[in-house]
Amino acid sequence: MKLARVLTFIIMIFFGISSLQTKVNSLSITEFEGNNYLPLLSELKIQYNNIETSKISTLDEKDQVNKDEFTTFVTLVESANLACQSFSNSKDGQRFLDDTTEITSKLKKLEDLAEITEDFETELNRYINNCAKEREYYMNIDAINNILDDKINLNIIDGVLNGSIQCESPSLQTITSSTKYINESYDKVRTYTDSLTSIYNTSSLKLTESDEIITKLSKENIDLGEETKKIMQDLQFLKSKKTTEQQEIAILQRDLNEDYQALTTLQTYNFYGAQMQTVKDDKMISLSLDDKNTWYAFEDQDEFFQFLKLLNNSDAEVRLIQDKSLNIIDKKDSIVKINASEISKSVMIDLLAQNIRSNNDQISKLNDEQNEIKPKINKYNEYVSQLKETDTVLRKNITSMTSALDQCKEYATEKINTLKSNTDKLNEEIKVEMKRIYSEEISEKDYLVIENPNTAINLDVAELLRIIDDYSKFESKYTNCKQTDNLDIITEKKQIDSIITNGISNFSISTDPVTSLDKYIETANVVYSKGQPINNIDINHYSRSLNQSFIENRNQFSSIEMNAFTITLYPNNLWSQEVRTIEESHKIFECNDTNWNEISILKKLVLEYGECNGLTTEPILINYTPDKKEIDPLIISEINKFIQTNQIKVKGECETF
Amino acid sequence: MRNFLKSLFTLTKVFLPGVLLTILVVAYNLLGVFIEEEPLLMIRGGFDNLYVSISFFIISNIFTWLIVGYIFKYSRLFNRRFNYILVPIISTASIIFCLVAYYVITFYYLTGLFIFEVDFLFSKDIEKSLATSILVLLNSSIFISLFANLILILIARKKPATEKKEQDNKKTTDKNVSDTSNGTFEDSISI
Repeated sequence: MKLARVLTFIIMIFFGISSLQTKVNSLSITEFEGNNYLPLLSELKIQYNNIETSKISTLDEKDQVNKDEFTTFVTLVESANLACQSFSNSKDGQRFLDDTTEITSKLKKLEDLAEITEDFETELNRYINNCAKEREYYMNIDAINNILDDKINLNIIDGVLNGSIQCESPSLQTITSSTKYINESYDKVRTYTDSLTSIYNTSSLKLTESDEIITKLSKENIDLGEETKKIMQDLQFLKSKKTTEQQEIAILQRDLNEDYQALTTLQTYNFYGAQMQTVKDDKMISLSLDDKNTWYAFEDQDEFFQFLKLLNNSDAEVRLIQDKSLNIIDKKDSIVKINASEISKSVMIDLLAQNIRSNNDQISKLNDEQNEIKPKINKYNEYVSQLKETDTVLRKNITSMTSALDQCKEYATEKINTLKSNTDKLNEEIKVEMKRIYSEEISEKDYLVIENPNTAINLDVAELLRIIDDYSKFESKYTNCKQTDNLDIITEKKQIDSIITNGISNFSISTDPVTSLDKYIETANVVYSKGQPINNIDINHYSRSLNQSFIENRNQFSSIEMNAFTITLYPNNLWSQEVRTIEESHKIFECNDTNWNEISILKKLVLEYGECNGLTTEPILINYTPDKKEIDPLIISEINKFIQTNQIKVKGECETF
Repeated sequence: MRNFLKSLFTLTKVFLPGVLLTILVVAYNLLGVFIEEEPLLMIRGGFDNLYVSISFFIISNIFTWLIVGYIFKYSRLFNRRFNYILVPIISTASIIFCLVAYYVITFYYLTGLFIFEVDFLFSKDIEKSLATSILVLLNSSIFISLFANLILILIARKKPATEKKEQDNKKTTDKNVSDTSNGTFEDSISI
């Protein structure tokens, strides 16, 4: 007992895992594309609840979203997942989105909610569209599978393919009639599969391209780093060179000062000092021998001349001073050049740093993109594989069906060819007769297919099989005739005569004021019709009978009235019709050992009725006065006059055959 | 060759005012140095008093043009209309050039330094007087030069009739005399 419980438990777990496995295998796009709209909905709820009422009331009344509407909207969105399960096509999704857009478009009019609503709308659209498309995909798969995955249908298709089931099988015809539906559904399935495959391929390609770009940018950054390092080293070198030059300048400057001191004990000044001295007019003139570095200032001409004399006598010292000055100037120039070089290299470093930063930004963006794609890519791959597997199965089934149907089409074409060849063996006159009867009784279009079997390729199998079925039944009467079967075929028709006949249904009257005559003539008409089995009869017979009826039944109406009154005589349904006399030539065939033998030729006269043309006519007014005595002769006289005037020959209805 | 020599003499004559003026400037500077007993005064006009120096300079200018005009027959340079413009410009420029050259050489001779190796700063007063004197010297020199050129042009324009007469006289008196009587530098010296 215990063992049985343990076994049961193990079996339950096994089934649980199996079912779980099945669910895992059936991956849904919404699972890995995520329902990002839900966190955004929560945020939207918070922001909506925090928004000041005054801000909402600034909007037009029709643009405002009140609490109730918002709550309904939230409930609707929260039920998106459930609603999605009920979608059968993309339109359902669009309908759902239309319902939500009504509110989101209002929410977007509030500045504070515009951004979050926009984001939310985008995510919801994505979720619903994905879901609706996937549902449509599954619905189409189900539709195809319901027909093609059905065991009976599969057996039929297999049976047709291996020849054990005939194409005429009604079950195959059911499948055949569904081919258009299957193809339409498969087109949708294929579109979805291709679309998802394309998304996967694009994402995959994007990842690869991003990797390549990141590698390229990283390499470029390394190169730029190397270059920067090199420039930094150059800068370091320039700095040390500048320091050296400055030190040398300091040394030269010191030496120069010593040289100046050796030349004269006069006080020296720098440029600004000398300028101050001369500008303030403390000194008359200042002089520099070393490119404005060191200046001597002189109060008067004598002092200046003394110095000039000194210079003339100390030529070597002066030259030394000038050489050192030039050296200092060269070094200062060199420092200026070093500074310029430092600036250009700093600019270079800035540019390189800018490039590195730009590359890093690009790498960062690409990494972000990759991070967005990477978690999904495997799932996409799995999903696309799943779609492809399904597609393979569907294609296999559809291919089987198509093969079976193609086979049947081939069979049907052959069959039509056989039927045509059978018909072709018959006498030409019989063939014409067959075509006439088939076109009249069944279908002229179908007969064209039999006459031109090449056109059969454009028809579907079910249609072809139906034509074959109809024609086989029809043809067998002619191609497989029984002994003593006869065929009477009209081979020629010749018109002998043609006349135009006018006819009338009957006459009726009304009197003003009403008298018993009114109803009498109707009764007389009925009596006449009952007593007369022939539909169309000579009009004179009718008028005579009417006259006789008046005479015999005078007790039913007043034959002479005391007062004057008006009688209106109505000729009912006056018509005109051409009647042609046709001479038909008949050939009589008799079946003898499944062949038709001509046994006689007959000629028959038959009538052919033309189109019925209704004629219009005015009622006839008869003003009766007592001096006119009897009424019925008057009426009969008017009727006869009308018959003669309109050359009416027949009483009855127009022949419509 | 003869034409070349003739052109060379003509060209030399254009520069003659500059050279002569410089010689005269050196002369009055030396006079100043002799009087003042200070050689360095040569770099400021030879005399301690600026007005004296300027006066000597202007007189030297006038003397120069009188000498070149009357002794060296400067006006013969204007034998072509084209020279009316070219000769005054070149002669004036040569005067300025010679004066500058004189100053540079004098400064080097007195101090052992080229003037452009030395930088000066002057007090406002001396700057003003220096600027004034340089302006006066250059302007007077240029003005006198251009004026003298103009006078000499006018003289040259009147001269052809006299020249023709002289030539006729010469033709009649001495046929053996050579044709070099059309005013060369040597002729001027011999006169």
